[in-house]
Amino acid sequence: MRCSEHGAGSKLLTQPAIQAVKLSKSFGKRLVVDNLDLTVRAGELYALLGDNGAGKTTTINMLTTLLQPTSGEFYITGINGIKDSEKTKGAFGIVSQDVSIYQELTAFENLSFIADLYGIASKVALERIERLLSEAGLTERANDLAGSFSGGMQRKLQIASALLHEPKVIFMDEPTVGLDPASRRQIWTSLKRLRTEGVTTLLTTHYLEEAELLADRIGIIRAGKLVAEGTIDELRHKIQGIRSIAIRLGPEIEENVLNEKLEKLKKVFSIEVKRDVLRRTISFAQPKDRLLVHSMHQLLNWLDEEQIPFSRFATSEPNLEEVFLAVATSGEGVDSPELNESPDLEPEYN
Amino acid sequence: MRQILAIINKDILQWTRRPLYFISSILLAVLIISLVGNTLSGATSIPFGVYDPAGVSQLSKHLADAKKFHVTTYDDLHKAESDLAVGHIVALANVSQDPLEDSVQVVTEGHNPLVDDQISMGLLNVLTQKATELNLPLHTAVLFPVNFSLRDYITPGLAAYLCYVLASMNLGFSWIYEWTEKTYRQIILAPNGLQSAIAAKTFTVTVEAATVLWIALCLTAPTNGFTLGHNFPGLVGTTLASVFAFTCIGLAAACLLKTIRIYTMTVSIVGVALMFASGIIIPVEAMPQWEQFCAKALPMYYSADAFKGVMLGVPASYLKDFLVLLAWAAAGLTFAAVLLHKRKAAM
Repeated sequence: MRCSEHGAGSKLLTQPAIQAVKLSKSFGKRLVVDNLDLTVRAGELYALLGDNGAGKTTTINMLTTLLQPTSGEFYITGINGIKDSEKTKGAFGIVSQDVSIYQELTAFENLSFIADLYGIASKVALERIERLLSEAGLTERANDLAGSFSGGMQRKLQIASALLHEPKVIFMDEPTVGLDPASRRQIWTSLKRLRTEGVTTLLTTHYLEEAELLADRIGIIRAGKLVAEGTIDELRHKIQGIRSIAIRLGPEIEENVLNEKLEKLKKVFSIEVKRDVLRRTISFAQPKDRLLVHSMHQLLNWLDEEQIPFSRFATSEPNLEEVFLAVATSGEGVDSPELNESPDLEPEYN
Repeated sequence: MRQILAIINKDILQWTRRPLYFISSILLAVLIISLVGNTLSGATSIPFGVYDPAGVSQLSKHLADAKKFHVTTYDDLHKAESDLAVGHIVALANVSQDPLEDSVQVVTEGHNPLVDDQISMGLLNVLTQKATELNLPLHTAVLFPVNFSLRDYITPGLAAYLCYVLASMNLGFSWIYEWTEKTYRQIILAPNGLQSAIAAKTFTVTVEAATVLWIALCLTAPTNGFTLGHNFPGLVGTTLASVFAFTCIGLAAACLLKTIRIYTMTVSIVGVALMFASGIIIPVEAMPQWEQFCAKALPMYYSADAFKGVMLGVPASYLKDFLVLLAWAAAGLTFAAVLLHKRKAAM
C-alpha cells in the first residue's frame, strides 16, 4: 500500500508507517544505497538483513534524518522526511547499535532528560517513566547510575528511552549485538510486546534466527539494493520449494534385503541417501535439477513397487540462513530463474 | 526553552559528578597562575657579588634593599671572579676603589642572556630609584605612576590565557564526550534538539569555565600576592565575555577535529603559541612587526587588555575588546552550527 498524496487531509487510512521511494545515498563516487524502495506497514515488525557494508545503517541514518539522501524521498507516518524533517522527529524513536545512555546519570534521570527533550508534561512523564522502568525490570535500579548497569540493562534502558515519547515507529539498529543469550531473549520479549502494542518496528540484524523469530516480513539488502522481501514462508518458497524429505521405513523388511534395495535406489535416482538405523529412516536432499515434490512422488511410488514398507514421511523447508546465503552471496535476486529452475526429469530406470 | 534548560541541567549534573575533573581543572588554573606568574615576574634572590672593600658606593646595601638580589660582598677580587666562573654568583659589581674615578664594572658569566636581562632590570631599578643616593648623575621620571608589581601585571594576561584553556577543556568534555559516547544522537533526534544543544552547551561551558577561573583566582591571590582589583562587575563581565568567545571558537575547532585526542593536542599547542603571541607575556610593542599584526588579530590580546583594565585600573579599550571578542564568538558559532548541521550522522 503506498501513499499517493501527502497534502493536508488526504492521508489514507492504511498509509504505511515507513516508506522509502527510490532512496539513494552516495559518498563521493561510492554508491552505498541504490534506489531503495521500502514500505513498512503500520504495526509491522520488519527485519532488514544484509552483510556488513550492505547499506543497512546508511538506510536507517537516512530514514532518521541523520543523513541527507542523495536522491529519493521517504515518509514516516506520511510526513515527508526531507521537507519536514523536524516534524518527523517526534514520530519515531531510535535504538542505535551503540549503547547511548548517559553513564553519569541514573536510569530515572536519563529518562527524565528524554522527557524534557520531547516536551512531555511532568505528570505524564513520571507515569511513563515508571511504567517503562517496570517493563524493563529496572524499577529497583531506577536511582542507580547507568554506568553501573550491565550491557543488557543498558540496552533495555536505551529501548525505554526510545519509547518514552510513544513514537509510532521505532528504528532498531542491531539491538542485541554483543549481548549474552539471556539478555537477547529479554530484548526479544520487549520487541514482541511492541508488536502487540501496534508499534511499527524496522529492525536491522545480523542474527538470522532473530529475524526468523520476530519479523513479520524480512527484507534482504545487498550492495544498497533490496534483493528480496517477504514473509519467511514467501522467501523460503521462492528458493526451490522444499529442501529435503525423510521417510520412516517399516520393520517388516530384512536388513540385508533393505541394504540391497537402498543401493539400487541410489543408482536409480542418482541421489545420496542417508540412513538412520536407530530410527529406521532414510532421508535425502533435494536434487539441484529437480523439484523435491516431484522427486518425493516418484520415490514413494518406487518404494511401493519394490515392496519396501514405510509408515510416514516428512519434508523440511529451507531455513532463513539458506535463503540469506542464496540471495546475499549469489548475484541474483530471489525471483531469478537461475535460483528457481527445476526441469522435471524422469528417473533413469525401466 | 525547556529543552535548553534540560540540557543545561544534564550537563551540570554530569560536571558535578566528575569531581576529579573539577578538582584537576582548578589545580591546573592554580598551577598556571602560581608557577607561570612567579616565574615570569622574576627571581627575588639572584646571587650577586659586590667588590667594594672600602664601601665607597653603598651599592651593596641598595642592591639588598631592592629585594631582587642576594648580595655577597667580597674583599678579594680574584675570589669573587672565581665564584662568578663556577656560578656561585651570577654577576659581580666591581666598584672602582680609585677615589678619582666613579665607575662600577658589572661582570656576568656571559652564557645566559636572560640572566643578563634579569640583572639589567634589577640594576636599572636600583639605579633609577636610588640614583641621588648613589651620587650618580642620573634622573628618572614616570608619566603615569602605578602602584602594582610585575606580578600583578602578569596575572591578567594569565587570566585571559586561562579563559582559553578552561573553555577549551570544558568544551571538549561537553561536546566531544557526547559524540564519543553516542549520546549526541538522542539530543539531535529530538525536535529542534541541535539548536537547543548549541545554546545550552555554550551557556554551560561558559559558566563552568568562569567558575573554575574565579575559584582559582580567589585561591591564589592571597598566597601569591597579586591584586584582583576593585572592579568586580568588570571582572565578571570580562571573564564571561572572554570565556564565551573561546567557547564558541573551541566548538568550531571541535567540529573540525572531532576526536578528543586530536582536539586536546591541538588546543595545547595553539595555547602555547597564543600565550606568547598575544602580548600577555612579552609586550606586543616589543615584538616584530608581523607578530604584532598577528597578536592584534587574535582574541586573547583583547581579552588580556580588558583583564588588565579591570584588575589593574590601567587604560583599556573596553568597547573594542568586547566587540572583537563578540565577532570571534559569532564567527566560531556560525561555523560550528553549519558543520554540526551537515555532519549529524558522522558525530
